[in-house]
Amino acid sequence: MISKLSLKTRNSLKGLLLVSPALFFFAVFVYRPLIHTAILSFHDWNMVSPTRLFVGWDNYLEMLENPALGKALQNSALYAVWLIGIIILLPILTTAGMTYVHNRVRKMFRVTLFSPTVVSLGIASVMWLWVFNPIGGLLGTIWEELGLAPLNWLSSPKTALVAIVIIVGWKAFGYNMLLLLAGLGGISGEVIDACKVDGADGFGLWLYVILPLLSPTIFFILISTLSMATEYVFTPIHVLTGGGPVNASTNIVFEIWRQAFRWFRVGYSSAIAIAVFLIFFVLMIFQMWLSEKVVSYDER
Amino acid sequence: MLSKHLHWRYRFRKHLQRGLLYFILFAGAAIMILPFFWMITSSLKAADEITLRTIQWFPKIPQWENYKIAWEAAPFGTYFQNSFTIALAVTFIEVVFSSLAAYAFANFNFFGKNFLFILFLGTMMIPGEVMLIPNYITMVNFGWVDTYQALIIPWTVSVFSIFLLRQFFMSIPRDLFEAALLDGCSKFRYLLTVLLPLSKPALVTVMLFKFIGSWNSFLWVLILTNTPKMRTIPVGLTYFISDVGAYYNYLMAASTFAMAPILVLFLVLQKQFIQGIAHTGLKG
Repeated sequence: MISKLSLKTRNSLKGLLLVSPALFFFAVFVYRPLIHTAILSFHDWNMVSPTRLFVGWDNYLEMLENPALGKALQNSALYAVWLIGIIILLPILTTAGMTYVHNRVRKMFRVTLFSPTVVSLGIASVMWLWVFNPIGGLLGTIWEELGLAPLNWLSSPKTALVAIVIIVGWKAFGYNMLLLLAGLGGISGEVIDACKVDGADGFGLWLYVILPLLSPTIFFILISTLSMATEYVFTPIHVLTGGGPVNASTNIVFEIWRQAFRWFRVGYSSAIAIAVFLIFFVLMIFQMWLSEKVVSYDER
Repeated sequence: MLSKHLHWRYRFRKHLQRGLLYFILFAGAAIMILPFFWMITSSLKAADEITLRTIQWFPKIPQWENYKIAWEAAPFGTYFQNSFTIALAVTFIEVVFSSLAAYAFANFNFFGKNFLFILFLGTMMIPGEVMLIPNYITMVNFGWVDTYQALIIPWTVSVFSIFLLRQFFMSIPRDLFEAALLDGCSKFRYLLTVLLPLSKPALVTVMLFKFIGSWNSFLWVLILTNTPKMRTIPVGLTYFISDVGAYYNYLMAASTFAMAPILVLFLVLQKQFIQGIAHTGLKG
């Protein structure tokens, strides 16, 4: 039967056959759930009851009024700002510094600074729990040796968010640094040499030549940092602060989890999820538009 | 005389700058390593040393039995076994499915190819949490809560690896494909005996990332397991926090052995890791 079909059709069928497992998978675990979440967001449901109540836009309206959600959104932005500083600006400076270092030493730094990246955030959170512990923990003890008042990093509303930022920053720093180093390796030496001949010195060279050439990498890192500010922070928040004290360290993904799996408010949680999806969608479109306008893709 | 003086000052400034740079970099690296160091020394301290209010960098007498006590206090053997089983299964299945799809996108022309490719890439734009509740409900309906299937099956395909493998397959000359077909090699055999062996660097990257990703995953394991027999090492360790109470030396001993396999894997395969990241970075 199949042999009667033309060669082109047969090839076409083979191609479709090859992608079908992946397509089936995406249909079941990505596309269908996305629609399901959208439907659930218009309902009131506790995950176990056989009936769910259609409530229209109520869940979305509640989002506008619920102060915990406002705090979660505000914190998500705060996480993003902190993380942009720690895992974008700092790695750029480090990468710049590392170009002036002996090759052997650079390799050593690369491995050292990258090693936290492979550690699970769950395990890292437990390790940092002890670093932040006010009695006997590393930071607490140093604090006291310096003669400062004891500070409980994780249970003070002023520092809980910063503590989470430190953990995620510690983990993600090396990954971004490696991406930047790889990007730097992709810039042709001739361009740099030509600029040096024309009299560009260290700072000017970086500001006007290297950074613009690195901008594709920097854009890539920026987007992954934004998703870290929403997704990565969940684990340390869950393990260490539970979103508290008084919602000081909660974020939008933690709110999705907490509403659905602790308070069984599936509809409301779905509405938040859809809002996150829309925010990311807009950011992605904006990023694509911006990268077409600004990013310089050099010919490699 | 004057020029010599200037020369000396110039050299001094250069050395000073370089020295400062090395100092900053070493200090930074030390800060990154310090939590590891603190974890390991604390894991060897006695119970009365753990709450000291002055800095004590090393234990007076290393308490090696802390490790034994911690290991026996919770089912860590089971946690490790679960983590290994799940990570290996996810990695293996993913490589199979992703290679097939990547092969189709790289070497075949079929109806709806571009549309499907964009549809696949689109999944990267959706944050995973958006699908959390429906996927959880699916697992409940399948009766998969607290089973290996639930922790393996939903993670077996990712666009990232399809995309990376497709890029790599496309860089292999198409003439090779045509020549192999002319010589009577079937398309499936070409994938198995030519394309995949040639794509080793890309395969290693995909597998490493998937293995680590699966090993480290947290939220999904958290909601899909409700007994210790199915928990993985990161989730199991966080449950251990409430078990040990104030005995942080045991908690740190457990953290140390929980972290060890992945860190060892990284130190052994650091070259592949670093090259792998360079691969992914080239595409922005």
